[in-house]
Amino acid sequence: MPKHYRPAGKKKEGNVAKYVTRSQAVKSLQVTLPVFRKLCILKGVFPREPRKKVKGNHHSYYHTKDILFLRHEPLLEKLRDIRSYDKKIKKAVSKKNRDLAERLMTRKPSYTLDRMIRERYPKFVDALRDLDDCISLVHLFAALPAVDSTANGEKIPVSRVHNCRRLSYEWQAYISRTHKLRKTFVSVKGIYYQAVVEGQTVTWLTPHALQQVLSEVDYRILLTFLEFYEALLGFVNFKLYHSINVKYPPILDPQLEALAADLYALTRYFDARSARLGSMTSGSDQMELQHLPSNELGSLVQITQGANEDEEDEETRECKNLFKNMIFFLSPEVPRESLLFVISAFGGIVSWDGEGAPFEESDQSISYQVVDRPTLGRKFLSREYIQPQWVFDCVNARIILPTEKYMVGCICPPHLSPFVDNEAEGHVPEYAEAIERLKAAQRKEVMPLPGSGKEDFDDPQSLVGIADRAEAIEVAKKRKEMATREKQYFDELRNEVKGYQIADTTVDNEPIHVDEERLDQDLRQREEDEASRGEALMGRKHRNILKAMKIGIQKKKDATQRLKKRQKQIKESEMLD
Amino acid sequence: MGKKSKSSRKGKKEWRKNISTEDVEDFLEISTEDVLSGGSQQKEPSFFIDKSVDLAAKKKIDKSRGKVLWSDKLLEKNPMVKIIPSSTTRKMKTNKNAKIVQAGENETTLQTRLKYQNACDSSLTDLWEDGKDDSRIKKKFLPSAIPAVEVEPSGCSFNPDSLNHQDALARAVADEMQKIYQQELGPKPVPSVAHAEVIDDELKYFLEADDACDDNEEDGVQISNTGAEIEKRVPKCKRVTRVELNRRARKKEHLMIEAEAKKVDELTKSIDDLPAILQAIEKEEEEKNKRYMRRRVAKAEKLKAHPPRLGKYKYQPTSLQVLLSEEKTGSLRKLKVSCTLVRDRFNSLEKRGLVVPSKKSGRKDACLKPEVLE
Repeated sequence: MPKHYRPAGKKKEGNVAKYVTRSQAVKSLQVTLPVFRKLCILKGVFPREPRKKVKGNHHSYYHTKDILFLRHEPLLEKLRDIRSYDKKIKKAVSKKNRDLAERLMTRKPSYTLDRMIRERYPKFVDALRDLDDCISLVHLFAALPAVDSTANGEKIPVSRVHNCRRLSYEWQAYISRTHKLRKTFVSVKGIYYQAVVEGQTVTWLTPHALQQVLSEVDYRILLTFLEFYEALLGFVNFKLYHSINVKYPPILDPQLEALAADLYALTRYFDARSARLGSMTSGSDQMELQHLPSNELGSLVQITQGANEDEEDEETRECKNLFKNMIFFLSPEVPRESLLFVISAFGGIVSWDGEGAPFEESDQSISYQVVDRPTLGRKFLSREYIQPQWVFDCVNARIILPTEKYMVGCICPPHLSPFVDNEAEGHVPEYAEAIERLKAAQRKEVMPLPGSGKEDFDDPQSLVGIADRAEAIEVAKKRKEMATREKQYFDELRNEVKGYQIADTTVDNEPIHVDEERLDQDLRQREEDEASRGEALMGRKHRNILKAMKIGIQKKKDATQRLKKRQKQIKESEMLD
Repeated sequence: MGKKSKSSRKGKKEWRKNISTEDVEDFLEISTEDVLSGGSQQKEPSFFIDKSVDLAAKKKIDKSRGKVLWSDKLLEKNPMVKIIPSSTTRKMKTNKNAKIVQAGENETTLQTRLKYQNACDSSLTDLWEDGKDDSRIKKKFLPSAIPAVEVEPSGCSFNPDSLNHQDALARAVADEMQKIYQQELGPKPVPSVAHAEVIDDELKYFLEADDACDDNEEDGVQISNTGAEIEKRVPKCKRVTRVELNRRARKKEHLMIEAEAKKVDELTKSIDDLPAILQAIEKEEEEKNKRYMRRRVAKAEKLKAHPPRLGKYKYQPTSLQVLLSEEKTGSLRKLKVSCTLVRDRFNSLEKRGLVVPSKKSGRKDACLKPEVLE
């Protein structure tokens, strides 16, 4: 009698044992292909590439262990049950038994994804890490038209689209309330946002409001992903809302919901909650919304000031105060949702043209009105009229930029991407430099003493890096003064020692001729000395690596120089024309 | 195989006769009652508290589950030993779908609660509360290191800086030209219609005549060749004498001795050359290692931009979405949105290896922009 019995055809080890093809997997799980696909997506099982594809290049391979893992999944049973239940319904329908069919449809078995989410993301941090794709997809579907049949016969149900919209607004409301938004970038594809939630950076992409034409993709797969991500986002929102002591799911004013002003309704809900927690005694939520005083604008300002978050880091505070005390009004032709989100995320107060809005266009306290028309009809004198790009650029630069360049009818300066590190690329666009100068100017206003700055004058490298020539000259002057004073002191000491009488010489401070060339040379020499001092201590390998690095950096510099030269040439040729 | 005695309870067919039909009969009674009484129990009110509990189906194994092992029973006399039942009892199933109306809830809150309950049919709880660390859960395998949302370069903004814009345009044009070059440089496809001249019947015979001529010539050459070969093939056979045989034997011995001497020589040479040989081996190993590292690095680099080959079709990336120079207006309102994000998201899923590319996915790129760089 054989000791070990292995079924005929089953391999023991190697690529054959470790990987199965998709058709083998489907057969072993005894499900149909669409159900298998759905299960894989929900469970997080994806095909891999084995070293040797034993059954050929045209199959997709899954890990055997993954498939065995799937086999013990309770969701598999549920999906099978649903399938057999669907057959019952179909049978009833074809037997013209409408009553039975309807009754059956009310009691359809369903499944929940809680366990699945808990398995895939054991900690909250894991869920936050995977939020990018989730939020992008949910926002995308929130903007899609709900159709009965797309190109491949799949339908996008209306309830799903509404659910996506609700989830996306809740997320946006949370981010704007807690001022966690950091960067935005408007591109041709859509609008990119980046926020920092509990230490994790979340980047997502929202479509422009105008689109969307449905293209030919497999919507079943997308809808399965959407299902999973909807559940995930629901739970994440729940946890986040609870962390700021707001009840989830939020109950919104139905009037505002009907007017599709969901985001505004959510902000009011937040304000109501925070007001309740702050001072008022508890009542039911519905009553709170009606208790808000009639002077909407004033109340909103008060409430936002009243809400205090204890654990706030430096950046959040900075972002919160960017648009503080600034009141915006949006014209109907600008992208409303996006601007609502961004402005309130940075502490501003915003209204728009329509029913249910907090205040009207003619309100006197509006400081900025965002328009995107070529010309304006009538103008109020107390407010500034700007294009929407101003808001995005301010947010990226974290300072209030001058509004002259963004006025109505002007062509705005280029909208730069905050996700690109300009120094790393080597080429810094001119507008970026302008923004840097403005930032530096503002910082200097805040800190009155330039000498108390953090610059270390002894480090020559930092001196060379100073953009402002005048500053460098000042610093050098000071140093020279110090040097002469020191010399004087030592001379006097020497004289004392020697016993000479010190004549009462009025110390003429000779005008210090600042020889710019010598200054330059001096600084450069000192910088080189510092650098070579470090180099001499390295071994040969490190020196070679350093050399290679320098060559790389030099190449980059050459490339940028070439670009600049070409730019100059283009400009010159334009001028000649 | 004779007929089994009726008293035997073993065998497959016998046990079927032994199944109790209590529950079936109960059910039939109830259903007939319902039908006779007008089916009032089947109607469902809009809100009700479902207190009904299904009859637990009594299975044969439940009977034995309640029993205790005989050995445990024996030990039962010893008060120190506790009886452990053979397996855990099944937990009662609870009915999840009951819609419960809470006291004091008014209409709107009920509606919203129902809306959320129906939307995600799970009770919303904090999944990650109290930081339970389930170490049983296996580590998640990340299919790819490519980030989920990749931000486009600066030149793709709706109002780009001119140099960045040129960069991005150049990249887009390069991609397009690559595709065009691939098509041009590839082998020419077989034409579906071949050019041919119509040949009449008379010309056909002429064609055949040409072929026959050639054949004859070849045959003639062959015949003459075989004649010469036949002559060569029959040399004279002479008898091998003793002298010849001895000579051969001696030669053989010499050869063997020489071969051995040669071998010894080579061995000593190779021993002297040992360090050189070792060095050669080391060099080879180094070369191999270098090649291996190079290939690994190249593969890793490739993986940063493409998924591994997962199925029948190759992954095809979407083209870069850049504004054409004419379209660059600098205004958000006039931005011509030509592409859809659906395709882009699907492509991102493919790029990370979560979805296997199908033949439809690479075929029609709705965002193709053929253009000329100014």
